[in-house]
Amino acid sequence: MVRLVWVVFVKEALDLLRDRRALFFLFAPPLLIPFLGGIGGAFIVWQVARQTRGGLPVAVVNGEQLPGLIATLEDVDMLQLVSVPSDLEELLKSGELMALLDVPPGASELLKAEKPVTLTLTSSRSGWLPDLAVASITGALDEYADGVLAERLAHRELEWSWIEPIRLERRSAAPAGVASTSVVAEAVPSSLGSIFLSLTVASWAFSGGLNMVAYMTVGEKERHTMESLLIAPVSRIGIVLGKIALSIIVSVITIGLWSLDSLAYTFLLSYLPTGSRGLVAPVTAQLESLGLAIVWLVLLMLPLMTMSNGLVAAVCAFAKNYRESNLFLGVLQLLLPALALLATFGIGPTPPLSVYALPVVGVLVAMRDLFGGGVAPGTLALTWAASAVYAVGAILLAAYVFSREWALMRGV
Amino acid sequence: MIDIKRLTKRFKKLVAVDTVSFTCHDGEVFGLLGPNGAGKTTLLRLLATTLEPTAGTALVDGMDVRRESGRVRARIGLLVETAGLYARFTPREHLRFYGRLHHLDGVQLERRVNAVLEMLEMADFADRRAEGFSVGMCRRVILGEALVHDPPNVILDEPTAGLDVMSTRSVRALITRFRDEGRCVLISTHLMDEAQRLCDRVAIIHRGCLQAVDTPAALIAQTNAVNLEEAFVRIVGEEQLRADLWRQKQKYRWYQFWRRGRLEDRLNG
Repeated sequence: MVRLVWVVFVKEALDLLRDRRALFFLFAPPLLIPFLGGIGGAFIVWQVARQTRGGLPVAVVNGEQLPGLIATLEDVDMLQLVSVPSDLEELLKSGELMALLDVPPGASELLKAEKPVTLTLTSSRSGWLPDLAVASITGALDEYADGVLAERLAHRELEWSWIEPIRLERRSAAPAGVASTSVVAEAVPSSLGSIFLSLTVASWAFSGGLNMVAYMTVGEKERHTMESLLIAPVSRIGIVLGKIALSIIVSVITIGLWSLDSLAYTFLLSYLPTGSRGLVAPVTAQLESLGLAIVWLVLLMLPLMTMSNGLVAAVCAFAKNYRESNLFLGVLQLLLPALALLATFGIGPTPPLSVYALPVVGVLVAMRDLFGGGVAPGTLALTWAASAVYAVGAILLAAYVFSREWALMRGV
Repeated sequence: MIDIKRLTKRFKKLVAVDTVSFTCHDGEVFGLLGPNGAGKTTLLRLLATTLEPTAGTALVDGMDVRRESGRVRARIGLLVETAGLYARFTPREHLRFYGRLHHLDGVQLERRVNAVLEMLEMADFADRRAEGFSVGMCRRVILGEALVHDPPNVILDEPTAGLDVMSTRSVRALITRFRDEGRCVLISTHLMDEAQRLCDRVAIIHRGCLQAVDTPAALIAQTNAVNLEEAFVRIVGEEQLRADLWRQKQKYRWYQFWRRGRLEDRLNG
């Protein structure tokens, strides 16, 4: 049996390796997209640097009213403060002046009296350079306002914490064993992360190698090679296993590549020098707690992928041709968002153990809890065992369909 | 040897093969003749175990196609009329793959692959990918797949369909060679000339039923025909005529019944 699985696997692998188009669509996106993204990012940075060299021209009317603000604006590299020209309107319209900040007369006195001051910011015509100027001015204004507020607080001998009367410290009471964790715990609520995670993971499981399985099963009918294959004196389950083995390996490679991409981006985001603090927490601090969760994620993914491949092999072995198999696959894939929604919203935070043993939904709920509220290792083990049973069942179903003339001779 | 007894295959209401019995001996070329849709290919698929019989038995070298399908498959080589190739594989790789599926390996596999490549004159294109092969080249590769494990029983479905004169001649020579080697050769064809020239015995099938089994010469004599084609037309034609007459009669009966009913309705009403 092992030899047969190997023979079929090698044949399918060789066929795939020679199919440049299939290889491109499988492996090029995860390999090329980060590269292209990098090129795109570098281009944007280069263009910004080129077009803002010397600073974006902005003017402040009545700037002498708020010398502190002027000093803050002068510190912004992106901006170039110019004296107020006489033909303001025309310069703004033509884009030679990117933005105009109008300070009202008596602004200094108003601030001293601890009263609010309303400034007017007029930007040039729409475009990314005026928007950049506006964003830079707004940032500088916020910084200046923080300084004014700090002065006021100091004047009244109050601490900065005075304006923050209530603080929230978030904790998670995860069951012992596998703690809840989230890469962006501070930025994104964990439930949101778990929704996307379960949907993404399920999509991976039902997408990666599915077209390959279709090619390897219904493709045999389309190429009229099915009959020659069936009259070989070998077990049909061996043929099915050989085909599914390749699709699982390909799925694992593509998912691995996409995961590496995501990890690389997360690292990049966490080490961005300025303006990104608080957006993404440094990953290194989270890796330790993530490790176990990722191991479980992989463990849960494997039987789910095997099951999906087995199911698709069964469906595609039944299909007459690619067109029919695409119809069946479409219906299968439509079920996914429904199952992900059911797992995330339809099932409560502490479902009975039997839910974790349900096909597909059990894995999705376990993943939701793994990266959301936390889950006990025993429950994860139950989910894994149930998924493994379903995976074996799906392979047996595929082998059964692959040995039935009512399925195989359709379209032959 | 292939021994078929009252073999039947039904697809829902359609009886594709209806209680067919005959024996094809070793060292014999046995021809299955019949018009399109007669049930020839279904019969060959039953022997190749890709279809399961509804009733009856078929033995290949004494092994039942239903109970010992794996062992039967090891003892037959089937050339399917509509079979295709893997476009990105060379003929040599095709033969290796099917050889491995028939449990050949190592030196033995390479020896068989080379022998088949030589036998079917495929040396010129043995290492070229199958994409863009002519019909003749494809047929030779598919025939090679059927022969790579050196089967004692060879089943060929329309072996010369779509081939040019030279390829047809070489396939015919090969069939004669198989007979001389003592193999049991079962071919299905609708080329009467080919059947008359190649087959030791022929069976004529029509609408799934066996109409006649004998040597071509005996069938010609029985029907007072000048050749096998005429004999075939007489056998199948008479059967066809009888069937058509019967169908017309049935239709006429229903028509009469319907007319009488309408007449009675009119008289009554």
